[in-house]
Amino acid sequence: MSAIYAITRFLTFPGAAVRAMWEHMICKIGGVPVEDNRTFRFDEMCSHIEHELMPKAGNAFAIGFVPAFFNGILAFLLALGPVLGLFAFEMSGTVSRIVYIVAYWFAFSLYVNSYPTIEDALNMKEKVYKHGNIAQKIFYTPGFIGCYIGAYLEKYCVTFLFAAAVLVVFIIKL
Amino acid sequence: MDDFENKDLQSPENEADSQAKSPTQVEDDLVKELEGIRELLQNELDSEKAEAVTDANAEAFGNEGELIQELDEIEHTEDGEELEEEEKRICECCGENECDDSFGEDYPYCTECRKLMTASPVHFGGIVMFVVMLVVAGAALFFCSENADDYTKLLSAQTAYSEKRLVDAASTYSSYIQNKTADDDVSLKAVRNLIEIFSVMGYYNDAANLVETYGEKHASIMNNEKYAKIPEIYASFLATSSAVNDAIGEAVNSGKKFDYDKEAAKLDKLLKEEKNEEGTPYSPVFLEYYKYVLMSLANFEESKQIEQLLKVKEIDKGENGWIYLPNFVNVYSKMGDAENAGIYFEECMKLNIQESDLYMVYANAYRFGKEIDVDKIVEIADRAKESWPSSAPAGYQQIYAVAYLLKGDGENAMKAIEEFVGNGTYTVTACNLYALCSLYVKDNEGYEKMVELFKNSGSSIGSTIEKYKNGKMTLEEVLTDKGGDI
Repeated sequence: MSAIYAITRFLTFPGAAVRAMWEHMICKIGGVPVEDNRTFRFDEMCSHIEHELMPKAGNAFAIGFVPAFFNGILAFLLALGPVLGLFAFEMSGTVSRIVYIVAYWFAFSLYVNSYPTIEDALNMKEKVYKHGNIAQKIFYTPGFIGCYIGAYLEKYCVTFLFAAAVLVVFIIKL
Repeated sequence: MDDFENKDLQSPENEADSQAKSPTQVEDDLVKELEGIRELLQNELDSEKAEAVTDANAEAFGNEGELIQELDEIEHTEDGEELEEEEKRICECCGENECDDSFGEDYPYCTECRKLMTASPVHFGGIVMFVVMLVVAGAALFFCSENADDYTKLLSAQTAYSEKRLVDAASTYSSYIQNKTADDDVSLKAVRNLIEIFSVMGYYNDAANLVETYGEKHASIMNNEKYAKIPEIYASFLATSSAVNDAIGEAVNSGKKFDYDKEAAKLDKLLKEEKNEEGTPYSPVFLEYYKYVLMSLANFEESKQIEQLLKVKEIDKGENGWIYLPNFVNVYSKMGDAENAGIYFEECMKLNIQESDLYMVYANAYRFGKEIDVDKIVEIADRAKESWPSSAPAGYQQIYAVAYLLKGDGENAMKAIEEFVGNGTYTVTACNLYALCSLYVKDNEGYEKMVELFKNSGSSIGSTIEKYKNGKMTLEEVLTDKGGDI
C-alpha cells in the first residue's frame, strides 16, 4: 500500500512539496526538531517531513490543520480558472489552455496532499482532548474532524481517487 | 553410649549384690537403675539431635551465604554497568555527545543536534514550488478575469441551453460569437452548442458557417462527424430548395388553386435526377417533404398528409426531425387526435425542437377533438410557461386565454391575452383572439383597436370573429373550428 501511496505522491509532487514546506514551517515556529526533511521516499512518510511530536495542543492542531487550510485555499485559486476556462467553456487560446492545465494539475496535487499523517492526527487528538483547555476543544473540533478523517482517506489514497473521479466528471459532464 | 556399654559389662556383679538384698530393695534398685539408663539414653538422644540440627543449620547457612554473596556480586555488577551506560548514552544523530535528558529520560539527541534540527532550513524545493504555484494561480486568474464578461454571457447561454430554451440560448451565444474570430480565445463549447441549436432548428446556413469558420482552426469541431457533414447537408438543402422553387414555386406562390399531381410529378422528376448540374445531390427528404407541403396547400385529407409525413420520416431516419415532426403535431391536432399529437410533441421536446407555437398547436388537439378538455389545455399552458418563462413566442398567454374562454371566464381571458399583446407580439392569431375576448367581455373599444390594426397592415379581422360579432357563430363554435382564425 505504501508503494501505491508513494507513487500517487510522486505524481502529485508539487502539492507534496508545498505541504512539506508548511509542516516544516510550523515545526520551526513551534520549536520542534525536524528529524528528516526529505519529502520524497518510498514509504508512508513520503510527502511528509519526519519531526518530533508536537508538545502542545495548539502546535499539534496547527501541524494538521494549517497545511490543509492553506493548500485548500491555494487549490481553490488555482482551480477556479481551469474549471471555468477549460471544463465549463473550453476556451480555445493555446496559452490560456496550457496555463489552465498546469494550474489544474497544481490544484489537484494540493488537494491530494492536504491532510496530516495518522501519527500527527492521533497526536492532535491526544493533545487537544487530553491536555487542551475547553476553548481549544471547542474551536479545534471541526478542524480536527476534517484532519482526522482526511488523514485516513489520504493514507489509503482515497483523496487521490476522489480527485481523479472529479476530473473525469468535469471532462465528461461540463 | 560408652557409659551404657560399661554398665552392661558390670551387670554380673549387680546380680550377686541383689541375691544378698531383700526383694523390696532389689525392686527399688532396679527401678533406680532403669531410670538411670533412661536418663542416659535420653541424654544421648538429645545430644545427637542437637548435633544433627547444628549440622543442618551450618549447611543451610553456608548455601544462603553463597547466594547472598552471589546476589550482592550481581547487584554490584548491574549497578556498575547501568551507571556506565548512563554515562555512555550518546546522541543518535551525531554519535558523539551525550543525550540531553532534559527533554525526557530516553531522549535520543544531544543539545547541539536538537538545536540544529530545530533550526534546519525549509526545503528549497517546497518554497520554489509554492512560488511557482502562486505565479500560475495569478496567470490563471488573469486569463479568467480577462474573460469575465464573456463567462457571464456564456453561463447564461449555457443555462438556457440546458433548460432547453433554445431561442434564448441561440440569441445569447450568437451575441457572444459575433464579435469573435477563429483566432481569438473563443469558447469551443459555445461554438459546438450553437452548431447543435442551429442544426436542430434547421438553420443550416448558420450552422455551416460556424463549422467552416472554426473547423479549420479547431480540430475538435471538424473531428465530429456530425458537424463535418453539416456544410454538405446545407449545400444539398440549398440545391434542393432552389430546384423546388424553380419547379413548383410559381404554382404554389400564386395563391391560386393548383393541380397537385402535376406539381408533384415535377418533384418526382427531381428525385429521379438525384443531383443538379453542378453535381450537388438533391435531398430526397426535402423533396418528399415538399410533397407534403403541396398536399397541405391543396387541402388534402389529414390522413393522407400523415401518410406522406410518415414516408418522409422513414427516408430521413431521424436526422432532420425539425422539418417534419412539428407537422405531425399540427396535423394530428387538427384531427383532434390528442394522443398521437402528444406522442409527436414529446418527440419534438426530446430532440429539443421548439417551434415558437408548438405548445399552442398541441393544445389545439384538446379543443378540436370530440370532447374539449380544458384542464389539459391549462396543463400545456403551464408547461409552456415553465419552459419559456420570459419569451413571448411560446405564447402561453394565448393558450390560457383560450382555456379561460372555454371556461366562460372572459375577464381572465382578457387579462391573459392583454399580457401577450402587451409584449408587442401582434401575431394574426393573437390579434383575432384579442378581438374575440374583447367582444366576449363587451369591450368594443378593444375590438375596434384590432380591426384598425388589421386594416393598417392591409388585411382584415378573421371571418369567424366577424361571424361571432354578428351572432352567426357561438363562442364554442369559433374556438372549435379547425380551419378558423384561432
